[in-house]
Amino acid sequence: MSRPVATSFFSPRRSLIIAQSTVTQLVRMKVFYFLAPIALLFLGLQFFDAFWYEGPEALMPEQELRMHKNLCLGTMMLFTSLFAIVSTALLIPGDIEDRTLYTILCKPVPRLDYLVGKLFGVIAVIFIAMVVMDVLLVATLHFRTEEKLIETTAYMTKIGYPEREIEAGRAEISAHGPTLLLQFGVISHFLKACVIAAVALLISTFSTSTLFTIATSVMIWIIGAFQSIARDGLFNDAEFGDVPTWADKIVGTLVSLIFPDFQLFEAISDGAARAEDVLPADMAQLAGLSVLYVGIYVVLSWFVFSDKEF
Amino acid sequence: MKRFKTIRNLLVIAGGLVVTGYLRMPVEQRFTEDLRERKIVQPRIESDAWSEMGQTSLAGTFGGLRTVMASMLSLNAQSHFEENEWYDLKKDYEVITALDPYNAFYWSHGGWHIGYNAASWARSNREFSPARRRIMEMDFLEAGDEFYRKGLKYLPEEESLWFEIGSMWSNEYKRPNFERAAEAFEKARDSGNPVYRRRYLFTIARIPGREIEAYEEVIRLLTENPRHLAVPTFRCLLIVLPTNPKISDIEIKPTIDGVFRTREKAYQDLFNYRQRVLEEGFYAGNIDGILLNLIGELGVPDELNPFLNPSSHRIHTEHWRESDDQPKAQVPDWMLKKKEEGAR
Repeated sequence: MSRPVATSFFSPRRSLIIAQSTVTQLVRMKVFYFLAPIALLFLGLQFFDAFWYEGPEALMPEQELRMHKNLCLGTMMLFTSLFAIVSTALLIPGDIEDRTLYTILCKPVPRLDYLVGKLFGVIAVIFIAMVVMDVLLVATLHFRTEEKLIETTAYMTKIGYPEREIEAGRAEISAHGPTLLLQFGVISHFLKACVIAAVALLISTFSTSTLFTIATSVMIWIIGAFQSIARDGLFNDAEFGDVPTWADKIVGTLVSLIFPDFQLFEAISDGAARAEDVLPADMAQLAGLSVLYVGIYVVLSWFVFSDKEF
Repeated sequence: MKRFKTIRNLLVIAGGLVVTGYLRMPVEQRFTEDLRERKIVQPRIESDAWSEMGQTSLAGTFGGLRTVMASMLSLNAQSHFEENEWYDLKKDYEVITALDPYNAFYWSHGGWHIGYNAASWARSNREFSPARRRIMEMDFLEAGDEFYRKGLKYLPEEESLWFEIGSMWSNEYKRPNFERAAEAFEKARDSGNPVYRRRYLFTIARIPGREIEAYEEVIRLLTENPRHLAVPTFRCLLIVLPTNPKISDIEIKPTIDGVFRTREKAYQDLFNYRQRVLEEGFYAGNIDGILLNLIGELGVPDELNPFLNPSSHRIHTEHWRESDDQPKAQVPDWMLKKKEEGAR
């Protein structure tokens, strides 16, 4: 009598295979076509003097570069966050609809592998999109920075600034160009998208409709941007003598405990765009928090999904 | 059974999130406070700014696009500037700076629009009575001052904002208030920017009763960096301020030969300084006596003699400027003497 082959609790290999098939599935949905308007936007910002470069920011080269970075990073953040929500929300219902889910789950594939594979597939597509957008950002910012450096050097030389001050001016402009610090901003948006995808995965495990998953995930995304305000109220004294009521405290506590803090990701990205002193240690801490968030949401998704009947 | 499962799942999710939230909350708070201390996390948006935000700004803020929205609103503010819509522009900048308070550019630019452009518009707008114009101009000047100072709460190290306040209150074409200007310039007097450092001196040298302070300031600046001698008004103050009879204990009394490269150059600068005394209220001291001595000594022609041929024109000779405005390569003798005495 042969003994049944034991299936391991979690297999990275199986998850990887599911992740690969998820990438294929998403690519077939033509998700990368969304990158075309983004590319056009980034290139348009560079090669056409859009109206905002005629505004007050144009008076200061650093300010103009900051605006370019803000617009590009903002677009990247919006695209990746929305993509994370929508694609994750569509995956499980999509698999049920085309019956792929049954063919996977009737094999010895633990449901954890399935969930992790799906999530990693989405994250992989976000990563590829992020790399493409990052290359565009760096290229356009590089050209604009070079243009500003040439203009500023010519201007400062013409009005007789000493060499030392010209160098200082150039260094200040270069700090707003494509630096490693800017990459911290891009990475923080990527990490945020990963967390949002994990949130959407958790919701999609118990949700009965795609619309509900998308709407709830968007709400969590929005609340997450303000979670830190609620948390601050618990840790710090009230400003301007406004003492919070018990109801305020209870709501604040619940919001702080349940929702993720997305302000941290935005702060790091903003700081990087402002060329502030964002340290590698900050990035490590942010990455650690992201792993923690993704871990929590995956475990909870697994719990709900483990005995879900289809 | 299905309902039981759903409720159980929701309770487990809530429980799991609460427990892990309880563990991660202090970590996140410490991280946020660290970032806030380093000005990486933006401060909270004040309640006044919330009420002034439009739907687009609110949506952007909810989505975590504060700085992008600030940039976009600054473009909108530009159109209000072009249309002379000053009250709308002021509101725009209040929202912009609430969204991106660590960007000195917005504080500087907003203050300039309110304190300079809007005030000038009010001053020259013939649609209003003179009294109304004056009230509106003063309101905008005060609003500009307040705006700059609000920026300094977020960016206390931003000396340029103090400089802007000082420049606004010492502007000849507005409503000069040298005491207020001096109060602002004083905050920037230890700046790394030599222009900022000198403006405090140039302002108190115009306030009657603060001449002794001005003398102490001119000596302080000279002692720390002789490059200030490249500026004509600085050179003149160095000669004129010690002529104040109220200064009893003059430790350092610079001479014309020690300060100016040539006596002709001294005459040019002091002639021009006298015009600033008459027009801008700079300290006069014994400027007339000094000029009369130089006129006699140099045989100055009558057309360049301000006592015989009063004129509001400055003497400008580009050739003199090119050759003489260079900083002195050597520290003047009288300074070296002072240093040696100090060393002993």
